Amino acid sequence: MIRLKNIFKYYSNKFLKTYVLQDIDLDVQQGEFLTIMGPSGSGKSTLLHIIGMLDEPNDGEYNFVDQPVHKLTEKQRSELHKNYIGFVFQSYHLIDELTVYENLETPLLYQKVKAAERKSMIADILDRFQVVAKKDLFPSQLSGGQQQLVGIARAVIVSPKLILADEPTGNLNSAQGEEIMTLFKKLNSEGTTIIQVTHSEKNASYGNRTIHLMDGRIAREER
Amino acid sequence: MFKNYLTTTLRKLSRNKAYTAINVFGLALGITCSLMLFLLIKYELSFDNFHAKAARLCRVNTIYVRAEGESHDTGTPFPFGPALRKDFPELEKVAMADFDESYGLITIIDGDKAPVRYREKEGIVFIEPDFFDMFDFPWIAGNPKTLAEPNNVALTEELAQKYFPNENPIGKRIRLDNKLDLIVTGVLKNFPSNTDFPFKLLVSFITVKDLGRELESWQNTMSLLQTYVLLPENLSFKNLESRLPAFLEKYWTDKDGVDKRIHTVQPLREIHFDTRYGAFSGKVTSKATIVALALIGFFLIVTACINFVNLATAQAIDRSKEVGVRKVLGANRMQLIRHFMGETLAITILAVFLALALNELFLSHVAKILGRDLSLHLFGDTSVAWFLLMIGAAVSLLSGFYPALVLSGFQPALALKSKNTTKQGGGLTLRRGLVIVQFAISQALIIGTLIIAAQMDYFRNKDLGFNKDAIVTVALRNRDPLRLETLRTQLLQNAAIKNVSLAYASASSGNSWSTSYHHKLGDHLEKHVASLRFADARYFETYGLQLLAGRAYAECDTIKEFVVNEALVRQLGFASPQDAIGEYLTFWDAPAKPIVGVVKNFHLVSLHDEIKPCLMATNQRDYRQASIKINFQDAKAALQHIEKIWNATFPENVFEYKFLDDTIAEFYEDEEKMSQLLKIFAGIAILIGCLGLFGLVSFMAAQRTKEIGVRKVLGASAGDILALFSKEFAGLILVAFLLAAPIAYFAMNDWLENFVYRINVGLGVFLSTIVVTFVVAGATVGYRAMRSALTNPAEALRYE
Repeated sequence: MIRLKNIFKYYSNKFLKTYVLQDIDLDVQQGEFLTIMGPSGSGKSTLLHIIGMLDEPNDGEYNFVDQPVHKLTEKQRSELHKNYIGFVFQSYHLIDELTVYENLETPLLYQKVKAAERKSMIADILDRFQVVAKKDLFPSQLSGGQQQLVGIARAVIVSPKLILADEPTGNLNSAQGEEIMTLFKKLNSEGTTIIQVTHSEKNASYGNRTIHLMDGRIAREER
Repeated sequence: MFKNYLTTTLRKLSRNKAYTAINVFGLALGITCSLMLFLLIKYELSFDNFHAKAARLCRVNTIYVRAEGESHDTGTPFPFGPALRKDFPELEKVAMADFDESYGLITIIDGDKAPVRYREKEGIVFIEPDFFDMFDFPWIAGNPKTLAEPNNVALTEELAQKYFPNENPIGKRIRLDNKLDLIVTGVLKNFPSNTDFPFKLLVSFITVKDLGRELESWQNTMSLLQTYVLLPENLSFKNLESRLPAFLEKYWTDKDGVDKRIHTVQPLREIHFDTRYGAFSGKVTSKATIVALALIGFFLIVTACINFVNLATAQAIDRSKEVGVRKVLGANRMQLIRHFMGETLAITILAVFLALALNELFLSHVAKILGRDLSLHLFGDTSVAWFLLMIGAAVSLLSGFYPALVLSGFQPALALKSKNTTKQGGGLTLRRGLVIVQFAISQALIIGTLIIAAQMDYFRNKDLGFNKDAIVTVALRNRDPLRLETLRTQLLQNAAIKNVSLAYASASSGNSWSTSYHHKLGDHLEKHVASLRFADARYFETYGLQLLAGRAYAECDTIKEFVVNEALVRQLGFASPQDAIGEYLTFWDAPAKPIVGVVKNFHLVSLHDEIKPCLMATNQRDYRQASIKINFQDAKAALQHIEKIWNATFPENVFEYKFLDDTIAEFYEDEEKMSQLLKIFAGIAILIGCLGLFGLVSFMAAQRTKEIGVRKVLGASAGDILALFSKEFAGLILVAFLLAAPIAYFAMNDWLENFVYRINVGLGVFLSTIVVTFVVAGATVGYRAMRSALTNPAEALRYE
């Protein structure tokens, strides 16, 4: 599904290049649950953003479902990303001005889903995540765990093939974190490919493969 | 999708109330001003454009070419019209109109009822019936043809209702100035306000004969006796004009050789905009003024838009997260641009509605200041709707596009990390540039306002060469010498009245009377032109005129001796006033009389014009006005006394008086209006500019939170932080000033050229401008900067 080849990412400052990612080669198969680990500044998030097409590598090749992402236009990339990828963030990133319902609706709007269909899809996901009672509340009226639940629901609603999660439990207490991870496990077992970035060994244990980054390189890999 | 945007937009707006308020209010102010200016310009351009034959209508003007330069006159001699009709049979219609301001006493004679008197200040015209075949001024009752007969009069609805309430006015009698008995033969629809023909009481032209005017002479033109022509389809204005010299040559046989006269043909469509000539309405507005107003309107909209851009991009940091999230959720750039443009549109629509409300509140005041009949018909007038639509679209595009571009261009990865968007938040340089433009506009307007105010002040305080204080003028309704002498003696009986002088006009007057005269040099006569000022001997004392040589002339009923001014001495070619004493002058074929005195130059007319040579003499039959010097402490008693005596002297008239001060102030009415208008708009430009400045400083404060925190941790005081901000803005204002000052200087110098007597633009104006801007901007920046400076550094650094 994902094939990264010789990926480099650096920031140049006058004559000095600071490498964030160096020569990354990575293949991810459909249905995998991959964990990216590593100390702060090792390039985890950058790698995730490149996979999620939020960021571009300076060098290297990236193939996503057999399409050469590095050769696509921004519009094509945006189309690809819209149809295949769901994102989950450490700080949830719900839109503050919108209610739970409207937050869930937003990605459907960008996908131009019809109104009636939208309604049923949102009803369905609210039900599945057991947040029906919260649908008219604003993000600020929810607990962190609840917000992340909505965040995941919003990522899942478009039935993405791939979910990218950037420290999804980083701001949650352990009970909430466990709940979220169980949810990921369940989604994975239903066939969604998941890539998560985490510091937590425990979270990593939910996955079936872990890569460790160090100074922008893959230091080791566990299965 | 649209609903989702709208919800976010409305919630965002209601959440950031201050931001929304500043934005909407700033924009609304800009739109209000430009809307008002639009209405004003539209009104000015609408003058007399409603006549079906407007494109073929014209007026014949006169230019006098004299040694001292050309002078433009709207008048033609009495026989001009008839001769034109005779010699140019191809002309469709020719009509003369004599708009006479000096007549105005209307007596209603209705059977046995006691006569009722009214005074009509303006609107009385002697007019030929063909006028109504040329211009579209509809008659409600009666027929224009009746104006072919003498002593017929037509009234507008307004006057008909006033004189004969709820009666049929046709066939009723009115008396004009106790001289003419007229019969009402028609009623016209009220003339609209946007015409240069503000007629109310229209007397048949032929009636003029009964007033003893010189109907046969080609010698004189009077600016209010005008000739209008309707050309046939195939004749151009130029063609007619080119044939007029020969025509004039043929008829003007009694010329005295001093004046060279040229007749010009002025299309009706140019009359309202040509300040060299003028119009019956006195409302002529130059194209330059209209362009200036349009520019001011445009600049105000630009400042308001700049504001919007500044505030919106300043908000970018707050919105970066939303942009990031939306991009992650699949929004493409176009969708986001549309989203943010939509937001701008929402704000613009709000602003337009607020502007309409503001317009409703203030338009009548502005119209009053300008003396123009402005009104807003949103639904009756499609051009206003179009204007608002265009403004709305232009503002949304101008002010929404850049912020939308900046916001939608955020890279989601960075935006979501809340990495401060210093680089992404739109170049600070650009925003600084915009603030400079705003302040340059404000400062240019301030400089303009100050210069106009200074010139107005100069008008009020300039030494006119005579004492204008505490002088009341009243008209003389009768030339009977005995009555006038009684009037004078009776007036002087009251202690509150210091002096009384009878004369053709007051020392400074809108009425000027020029004539040619001869200087007797042995047997030879040398011709010159001078202003005439007939006045009794008390004139000098009443106005405090200074004699430079010789003495004031002695009291006499006819022309016996002359006093001249310095300019005339120079015209005669003498170096010193003393040399002119004893010289003999003559005019109107009368025997030559000596110059007995020379007065220091005084301003005969407004300060727009230079002091011309002036010839003063006694001549009772041309006294039109009494100038009465009163004791100002006792003004009430004086005025009561004047009214009593005047009413006793001229029993069949309506008493009216005027302070000379007010008369003189009226010379500068147009400038006064412009000054008022500029004051308002300069104020608004500053206000909008300050709103923008507030936006910018808020943005900088937000952006530099960390820097300020670090500085404070390192020991900077609140004062140091304030200095940090102040330095920045002081620089911007200075740059803006360097832009604005020369532009305003040259533009205003151009305006000052209109006046022969004018101020020198000094450093003071510029100093005041910069001080004002600094104070206002300082107050704006200070408040926001202070808040930053007083923030607890721990708080500022927490999120980093």
